[in-house]
Amino acid sequence: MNLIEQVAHCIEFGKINKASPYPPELKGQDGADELTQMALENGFAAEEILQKGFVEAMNRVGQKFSEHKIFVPQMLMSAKAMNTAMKHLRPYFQSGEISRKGKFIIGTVAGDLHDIGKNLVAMMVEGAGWEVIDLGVDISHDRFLEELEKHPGSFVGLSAMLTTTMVNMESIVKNLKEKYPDLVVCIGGAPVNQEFCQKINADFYSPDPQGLVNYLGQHSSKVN
Amino acid sequence: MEIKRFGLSYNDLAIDKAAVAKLLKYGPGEIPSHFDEMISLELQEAKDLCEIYGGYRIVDDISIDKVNQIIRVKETDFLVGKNISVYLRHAEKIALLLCTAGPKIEERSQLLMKEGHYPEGFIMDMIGSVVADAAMDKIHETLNADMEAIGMKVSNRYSPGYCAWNVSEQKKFFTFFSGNFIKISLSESCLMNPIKSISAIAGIGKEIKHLGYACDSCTMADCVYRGLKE
Repeated sequence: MNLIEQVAHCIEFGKINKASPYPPELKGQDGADELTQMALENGFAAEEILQKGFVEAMNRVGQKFSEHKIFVPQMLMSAKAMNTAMKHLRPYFQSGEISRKGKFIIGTVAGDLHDIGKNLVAMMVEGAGWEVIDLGVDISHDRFLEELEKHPGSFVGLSAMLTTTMVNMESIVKNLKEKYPDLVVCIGGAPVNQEFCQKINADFYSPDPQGLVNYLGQHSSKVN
Repeated sequence: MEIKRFGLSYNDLAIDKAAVAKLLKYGPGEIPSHFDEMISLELQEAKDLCEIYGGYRIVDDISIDKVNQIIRVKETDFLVGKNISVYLRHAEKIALLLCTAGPKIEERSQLLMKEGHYPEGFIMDMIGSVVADAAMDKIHETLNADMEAIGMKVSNRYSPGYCAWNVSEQKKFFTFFSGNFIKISLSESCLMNPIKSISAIAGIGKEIKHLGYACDSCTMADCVYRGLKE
């Protein structure tokens, strides 16, 4: 395996850095953190590390999760490895040497405080090469609009965990689309389904993060 | 009308790693060893974070309207849906049960997540759910024993938000408990605070039956608790 493949392997299996004892079979070895640094020092382009290391690994993770071959803790461990290693690539995003696929604004809707599912989606979308603006929980349509003004052309993701708060998605979608008719709004959360997505005029629903990642990948050309 | 309130300790609940692993979706022997180890560490920490309180209130003045799918408890009509109204059709009394694992587990979970310890934070969150569920099992067991002593049986318990019973009915549920019964508050959107809390009703009667777990009759296909209990 070359260095980038090793980075991808570490992210896929959640090996954060050398100090991390997890997973046991990689104990004592360099992790995504050290290997990303080494790849840059060895002249690999930051864009290549991002695409073939980070994005490829997180794509495999998302796929395995969709197929129930791994579960949330493994996915989170991969996200942790990716986030730790991402610090080495941040200067290249700032310099413009590498670019994101687009911007994705995500939040748990007004009245709802659940954030684990939303965080998981945010991590997976970031791992797919997008800039994620995570607004947190209990987010009103005004707050989404405020952020859309700062980041025109962004996609929006709404999360809800309760049947009482999923109804707030409808007014948020309506308000956002009144101002931005071409805006793409994706929804997710335990009580939500495809039928509800169509009913509230949202654009996409997925029961798992990888479905969203795939959808965004198909529509990334829409983003300036 | 009978009201019972009690505090429980973590040690009363016999929480085991397997219950947490199961909620994380790992079958017996399937969990990777490092996550198994992580569960042990987080369980160790959770012991000191639990503030478990619970209890129940039994109401005799009830009626069941299967046609309109309503359970009337005193003056309050719970619109419980078809399944629950059928399951509880032989109830002579209704027990309203409430419990919480306290706020500290979720606070710790959120802090771990914020610090970037995502798997640990998630596991702590799941432990909070397991603790709350085990506490409710304990309360349910106590209710069973109390009712058995007077020749009554107790049904399964059903919570607002499940089995077509809208979670907005939590507001009606909480009118049966004074604010100082157990420190659980309800948000406008009916979210309980602390989040790791459970509310439920159960039917009591001589002819009432305890059924197998009723996931098949619930429409929440993506529920994290689906199929966890036999």
